[in-house]
Amino acid sequence: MILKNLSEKSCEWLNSDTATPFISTRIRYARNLAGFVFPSRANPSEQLKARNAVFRALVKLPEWERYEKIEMEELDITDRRLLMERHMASYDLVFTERVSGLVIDKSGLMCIMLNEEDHLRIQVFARGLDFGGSSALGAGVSKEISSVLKFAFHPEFGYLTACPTNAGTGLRISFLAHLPALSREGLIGELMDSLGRLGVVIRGFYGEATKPLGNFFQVSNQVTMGVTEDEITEKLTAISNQLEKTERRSSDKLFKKNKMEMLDRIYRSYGILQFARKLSYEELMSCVSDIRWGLREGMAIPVGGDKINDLIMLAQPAHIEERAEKNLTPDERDVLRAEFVKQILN
Amino acid sequence: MICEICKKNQATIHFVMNVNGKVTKINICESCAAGGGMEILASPEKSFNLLNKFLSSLAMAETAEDKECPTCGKKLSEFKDDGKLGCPRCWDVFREDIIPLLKKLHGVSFHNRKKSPLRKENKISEAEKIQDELRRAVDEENYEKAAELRDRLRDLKSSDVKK
Repeated sequence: MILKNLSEKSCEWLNSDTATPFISTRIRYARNLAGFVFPSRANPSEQLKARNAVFRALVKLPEWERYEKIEMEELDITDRRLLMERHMASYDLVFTERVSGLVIDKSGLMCIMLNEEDHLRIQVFARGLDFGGSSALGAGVSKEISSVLKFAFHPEFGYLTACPTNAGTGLRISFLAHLPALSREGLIGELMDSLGRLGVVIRGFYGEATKPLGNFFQVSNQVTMGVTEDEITEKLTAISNQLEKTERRSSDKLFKKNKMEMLDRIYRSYGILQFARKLSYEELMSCVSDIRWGLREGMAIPVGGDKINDLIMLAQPAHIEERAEKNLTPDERDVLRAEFVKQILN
Repeated sequence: MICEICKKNQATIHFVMNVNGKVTKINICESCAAGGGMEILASPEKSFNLLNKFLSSLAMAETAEDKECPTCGKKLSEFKDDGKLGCPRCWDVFREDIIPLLKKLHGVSFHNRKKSPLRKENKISEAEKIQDELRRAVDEENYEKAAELRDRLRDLKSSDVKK
């Protein structure tokens, strides 16, 4: 466990403005090195060569000196999970046996996964909804790296990726949205269907292959080929506007229909966080979701947006273990989590 | 060298087989060769079947249908199994098989729309979209917006004529 420092502070990209359902924006570019076999097909020595090629090239960029370069084999499973909890590493990167790596900016706003499904997965994070700013930054990073590394590009297919789902622009834009009202009304499934028809997918809290926690959902474009980056941005902007309106409508409806039940539920959640002696992360997130919802509705709960963010980020399992500097059983973790939550709230 | 059947033990026995004039080398461990150690190889019959399957898979790989990327060795059958390409060159080697997949995934199979035959269709649909908005603006008596839309429509049409 060598990432204790990271486990002590929240991420800058978490939005502390609780008036909006939008938590964060993420831009991801998938890029591969020309002349190299893709990571999952490559043998360990080829994987090492690809990783070294990226590390060596980045040294040529003065801006990049301040970024930390991590070789995944240096990290134990707690460190790796911590990076996943901070959305810097994917599930695949955490559990892979490939020679892989990460380049991270300490603010947590930019990182590059190395030898995930593709050689490079460049990720930029931004607070709230910020498609313009983050895609400009992401495009800038990709361009800068392309000045020192040759990416695999095809005149017909665009940027070549290991999986055809990512080819073309290699660009996936996503935003994390808090949708408690739609979720409570059981409308997420319907939403998934209708967004699916528009080439947009809804995933869980940690992205692909993960389940939703605390009614936080990741919404992203599915189509990456034959579209321009501006078109992807436009589509997601339109969808985010629509989602905000629909969530608002559902919330109004629920509060109008049974205000006392809603207030009771939300204050109870606040009570649980204040007095529980054992808390699983799932239960914590469900309570955090209620409180954030209450704040959005203007309820008087003495918890600010920053505290909500600390609870979401710092009470995750690997964060707790990293701070305790030892592996813990789920029960031990739940006790420490409840103590931590009380500390934050008081 | 690792045993090609159990993929665990060191291969210490090396067979050279001649199938239809095609010489194939097989490297296996003692345990697999003796038919012991692994349940699946417990009976000589099973052992024979497994070896046979192994050989027939080799033979299939050599037929014309299963293309193979000369750079990374990825086979078309593997791509059809796991949906992943092995290297940039695979995109050219399996081009004909990738295109229908791209169409299914993205609706198109090319990156740059400027060079594609679909571009004109997109223009038309954009013109149609503006036309619809224009009609709505007029219905709502929003003449300022209608004028703006009319100008956009005119620009779009004139840029088409120039081409």
